[in-house]
Amino acid sequence: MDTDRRSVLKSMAAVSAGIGFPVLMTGCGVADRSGPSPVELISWIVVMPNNTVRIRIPQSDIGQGVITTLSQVLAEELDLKWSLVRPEFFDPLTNLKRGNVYVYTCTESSWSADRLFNPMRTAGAQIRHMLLEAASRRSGISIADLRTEDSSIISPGGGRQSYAEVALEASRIRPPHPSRVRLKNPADYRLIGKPIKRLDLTPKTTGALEYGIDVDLPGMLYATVQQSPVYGGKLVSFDEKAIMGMPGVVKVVRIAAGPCGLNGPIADGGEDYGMDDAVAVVADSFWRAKKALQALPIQWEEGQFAETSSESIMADLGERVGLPQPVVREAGNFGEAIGRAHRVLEADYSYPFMDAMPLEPINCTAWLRPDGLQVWASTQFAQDAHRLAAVTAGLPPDKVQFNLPYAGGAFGRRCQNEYVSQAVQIAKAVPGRPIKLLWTREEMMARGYPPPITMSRFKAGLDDKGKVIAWFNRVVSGTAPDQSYGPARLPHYVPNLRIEYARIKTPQPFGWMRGVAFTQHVWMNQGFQDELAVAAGRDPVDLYMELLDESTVPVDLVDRDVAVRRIRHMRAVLNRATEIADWKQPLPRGRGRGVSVSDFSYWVTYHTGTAAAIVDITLDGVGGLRIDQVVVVLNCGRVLNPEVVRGQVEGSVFWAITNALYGKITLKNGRVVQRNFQDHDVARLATACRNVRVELVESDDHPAGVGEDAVPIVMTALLNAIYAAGGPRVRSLPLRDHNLSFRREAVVETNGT
Amino acid sequence: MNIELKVNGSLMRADVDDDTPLLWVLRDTLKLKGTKYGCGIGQCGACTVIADGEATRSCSLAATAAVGIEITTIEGLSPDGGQFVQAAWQDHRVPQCGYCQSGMIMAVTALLSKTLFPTDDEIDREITNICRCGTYDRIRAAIHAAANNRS
Ligand code: FES
Ligand code: FES
Repeated sequence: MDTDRRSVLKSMAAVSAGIGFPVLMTGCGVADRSGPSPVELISWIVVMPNNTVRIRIPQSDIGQGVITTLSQVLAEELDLKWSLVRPEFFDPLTNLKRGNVYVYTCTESSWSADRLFNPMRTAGAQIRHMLLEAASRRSGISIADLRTEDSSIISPGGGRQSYAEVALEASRIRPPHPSRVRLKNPADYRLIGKPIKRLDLTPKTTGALEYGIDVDLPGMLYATVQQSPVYGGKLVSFDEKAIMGMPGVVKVVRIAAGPCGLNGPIADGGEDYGMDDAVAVVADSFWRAKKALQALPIQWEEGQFAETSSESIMADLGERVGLPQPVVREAGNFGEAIGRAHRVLEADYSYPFMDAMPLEPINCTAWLRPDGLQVWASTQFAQDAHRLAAVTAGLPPDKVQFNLPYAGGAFGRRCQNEYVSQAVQIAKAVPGRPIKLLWTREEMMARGYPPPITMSRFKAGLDDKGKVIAWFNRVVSGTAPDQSYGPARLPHYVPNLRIEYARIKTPQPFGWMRGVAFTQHVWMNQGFQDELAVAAGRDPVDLYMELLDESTVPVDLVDRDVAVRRIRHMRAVLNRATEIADWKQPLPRGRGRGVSVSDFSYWVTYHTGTAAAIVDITLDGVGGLRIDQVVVVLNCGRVLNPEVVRGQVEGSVFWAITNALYGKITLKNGRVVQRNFQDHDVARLATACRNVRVELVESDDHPAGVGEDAVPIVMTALLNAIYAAGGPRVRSLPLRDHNLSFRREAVVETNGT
Repeated sequence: MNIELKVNGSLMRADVDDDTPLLWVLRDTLKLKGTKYGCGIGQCGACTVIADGEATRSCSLAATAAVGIEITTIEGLSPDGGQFVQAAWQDHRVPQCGYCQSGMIMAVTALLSKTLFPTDDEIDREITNICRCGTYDRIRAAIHAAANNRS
């Protein structure tokens, strides 16, 4: 690593470690006249005297690489020399004071590229214009005769002025209106679309990168927490005397229930997003705090869910799925069509609670001082965390400085900010001392935010040519925002259909786990469609192609053009995947191949990619499963950085494999049964597929999110492949609960051929 | 109690409780924060260090039991990321969030010190660390590359 980059990472670390507040966060162009100083230009960048440029990244980097890809976007338009680029995370307080200048700060729904591509290109172009104008004023050469290159302005004679030389002057120039700047022709891109190495690559291999858990402050105390073991329970009492004599114990703190966040996606579910009562022990080391908390006698009032279990919830869902529920979509006449169908199939699918389980356990550091509060948390939603911290502390927002370190994974779990509230409550109990709150893995798994537990009943009719003429789907799910679009907004065309959807209240609050509810419904729908294809003796690819018919998109659909384009993309990626995987090539006994295609954006107004997957597997006949190959073809519009995008797809593949093989959280007496990785395994090298092939479609479309597209399709293709290999039809998860021996008739069939 | 640990070639002193895992002494007492906490029960490997040549999960080893043992942490591999496994990790762009990678690199360094060219099956058996971001494909490729390119 070059020393220059190292020193910046160090200085980034110094900022995030809170040794003084970050420089120049307020006031444009504030500069010390006695010598060169850093100069901020329209909130997005700071030009340093040595001509390095700090780019403010208004998102959290949770492993998806935005610190690099978003830097590429702004640096492209600004013609920055890449080796001089120094990204830093945005400051929520400054953003608040400036009326949300960073446009979009919640890191969720695979939205970063989509939402920030235009604002960050525009900012780059505006700043470039300001620098040019400053250089023009200084040199008397007209802007038209100047050009920019490698963080410098070049005059016709070849003379160069660095950005740093003209930055102060530029800071006094009014930024041009965004509509007046001309953006580059994509054909001229030298950074966007290039496989540039992540800026944080080296410190991620040396252990030097600072995550939230690594924040270290002078005199810092450590805290760990026990929350109500039953969701919705209340704290009655604890016997602090029992542990106050233990070594290192400083304080026992009662933490009051409250919201997990104050705005954004979290508000959608209202009261369900609650943080329960908790008790924290503060000590001079984490280990001592943990031991003391274990020894602390605590009385809980367990509340309304004390008797609730996954079985009782499933029984409830099972009952409701047998009764009529509100119709959310109807077309043609399902009753009539099913009556004349040549063949009718029915099946029930279910989806358990799951947990995102990022590897870095939940943590937050807070420090209440007479002059204000400082907070460090690797959250997905720093703007919300900042506000929640201020409200919890009872301070005006401008007395709260929020620092956003890197996150060791997030996957939707860090959209909820309850731990920030907890840390601030603890900090209030030990004013003047910084405290680091760290949850144990056991506590994390006890308090996950699952996608909704769901049952889905299907009934469909085929005509004598194996065409789907009638489709019925009734979905009943646990606590979640209204996600009726999942089953209702099918890209698949069936002339007669009826969709019903209802929700019940279940103990855990809902969470936006990677892949969210799409994963459930893509799998359930296409699992059942695979059953239809098998029943009709048809190739599932042919059946999908028949269902993906752009000519049948209703003319009155608001976004008809988008829907048509999406269907075209789906057909194209599906086609391409069959070519790569050699779909028609028959497989020997015990091997199977499954296929799936999907587009999140067809369902709701996300802007994510279109993807198809084909998975090859082998069953050994005695329960063993090997995943031989995963092919994913993704159309995500313009690719900002192919290596980063590939990484996201590969990650989604293994995410899907974990969901399929192991994904299940069970409730018993209102408590989560699985408390650590020994109760809930995840994909590891031995279970991971050794052959993952990712193809990215070249496209000039607006960039789309890439973090989740492959999750539902890989899961679906994998589960369909198990049937194709002669294994069971899997209609519930995880696979570890199923016997993966060959089906009876499959054995007979295979023997007969 | 006061103990003396040999970490990355230096003797370091720490005052610890008898049962404090080495992980917390490294992180919170000695401020070597490259070693990570993921599960605390020996399942995830985020806390892997090398103890007398063996990949060891430091959450499951009492610091007092580590006295007299030669401990290497991620910080001890190289000052700048130039050690051959780290270099292979950079070439193959393995890390996503990066949180698991110190432990991965330590486990792989220990493996490659004993097995010059591990097979895929040996890798599966020996490297059982968890990566939730799903960098397994690149990890496998980087292990083979590191084995082939080591000087
Ligand atoms: S923290 Fe030691 S193995 Fe997970
Ligand atoms: S890179 Fe994130 S856990 Fe492995």
